[in-house]
Amino acid sequence: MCLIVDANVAGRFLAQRSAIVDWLLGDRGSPRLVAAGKLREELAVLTEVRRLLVALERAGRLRSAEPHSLQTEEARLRKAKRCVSNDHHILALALVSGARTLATDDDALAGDFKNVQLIPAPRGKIYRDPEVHGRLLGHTPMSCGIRPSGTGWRRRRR
Amino acid sequence: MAVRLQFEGIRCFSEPQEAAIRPITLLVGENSSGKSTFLALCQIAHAVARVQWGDLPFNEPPFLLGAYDQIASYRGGRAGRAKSFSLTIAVDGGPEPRSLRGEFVPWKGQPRLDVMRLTAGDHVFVARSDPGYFAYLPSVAGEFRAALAAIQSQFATRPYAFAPIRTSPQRTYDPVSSEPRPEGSHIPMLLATLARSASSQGWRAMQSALQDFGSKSGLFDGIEIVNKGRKESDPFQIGIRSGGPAVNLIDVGYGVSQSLPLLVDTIRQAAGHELFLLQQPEVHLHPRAQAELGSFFASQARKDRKFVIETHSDHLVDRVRMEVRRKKLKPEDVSLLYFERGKHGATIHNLELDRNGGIVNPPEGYRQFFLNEERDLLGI
Repeated sequence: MCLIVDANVAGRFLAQRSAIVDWLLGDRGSPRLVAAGKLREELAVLTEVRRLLVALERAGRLRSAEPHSLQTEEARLRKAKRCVSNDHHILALALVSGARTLATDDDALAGDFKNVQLIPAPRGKIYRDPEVHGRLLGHTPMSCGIRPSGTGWRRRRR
Repeated sequence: MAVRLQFEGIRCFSEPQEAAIRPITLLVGENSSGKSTFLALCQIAHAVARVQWGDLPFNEPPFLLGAYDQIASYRGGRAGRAKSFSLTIAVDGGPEPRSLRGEFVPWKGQPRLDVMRLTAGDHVFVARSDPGYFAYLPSVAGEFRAALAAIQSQFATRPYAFAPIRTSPQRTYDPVSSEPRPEGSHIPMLLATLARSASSQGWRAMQSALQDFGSKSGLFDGIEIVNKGRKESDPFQIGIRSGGPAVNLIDVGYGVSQSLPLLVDTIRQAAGHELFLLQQPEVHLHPRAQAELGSFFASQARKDRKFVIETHSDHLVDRVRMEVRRKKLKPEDVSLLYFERGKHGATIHNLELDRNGGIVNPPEGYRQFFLNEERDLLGI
């Protein structure tokens, strides 16, 4: 499963122990954090998050995106003027990478992310509360081009 | 052309394995997971490609695999020791898939090449040896000749293998042989010969290439030969410049003398059609120099000039991935082989890179130790 974490919750979800950090560093499933371009720069401001990003990158659990594709998509979203939020770079990242789960506290961004006019199917999901949204982290890894790993996936499908 | 080695029943690889060899092939994984065995197999593949029935390099320095009982996999229980093992060189990218498979059996305690299978598309040509005699692969014709030529072109010259620990530096060297040795004891003499040659062009080119790496890695600013006499038979010293007058090689950091053989031999052998086999080139080097080695190998690698590098250095691997991101290398130029040790032997995972240098298909558990350490270190 591929997850985007908004910079406004990085301190809570990535810089300290959280269900997301446990999931990203754990040995179950195929966790992927998606961060590229401006979002990656925003996340890397926090020292603890920077370290985490390096560890995930080396383990193949940090997914990036083509800078040119990101810029093109971001420019298209700005030009369309349909976004309520000003986080075009995050919406562009979702479109380019295929990730459809976002951890954020920003209501405007959450609204845009779930808007199928902006982010087409599969519809985006918002992770806020580990108690309520924990199941999102165990979701079958079908987004952002990740192939499910072997037998476990087949078992879940049945 | 894509080259793959396939093998089965060799040491810790009891199950069939396949690994792609590309201009840069990085071998990563824990100790005793089969990385050095794989390097040795690259050396043996050269002999197989040349259809060399006798004197196979199973025990040629720096790779000493032992006798048949040490080489063939032990599967335990009733299966016991493997009765035979095989090594296949597969070449794709031509009009049809081509491969050359060597099957080995025990003979007087040593492995003997028993059967050769040359495959070109759907056609198979088989040659078998008799005990005590060495068979010949008869002059093959047509499609088989083209298939054999394609395979041999990938292993045209003998692989150049480096030992994991290179020879210790000396204050003064006596002129001796410059015959290549895996531990690099020939390097001082090779440098002295270059420096003393009538044509200074070769020496200047070598100095320039070394200086380039030295300055980028922070290891040194320059290198020179200090003659202790006028005759060629007189002793000499190696001087290393690093922000001041030259200092003897023995008086600078150990990393300089450890990396010098790799650098000199790699630069010196730049004739194409080479396969370099390296074990931990990063030993004794600061992370800055380890990373720079990644760029150095990336700049030296080509389709006909391949580097198979066993490494425990994240810095070296990271830099190779960065060179992919910077478009100095293509993702398909890099083969990242992850060796995983399991209950029933070792497994090789072929990891692919994307255009950003990211790992596309990490297996579950890849670098789990490091992720656990990271969590503990951060106290989270």
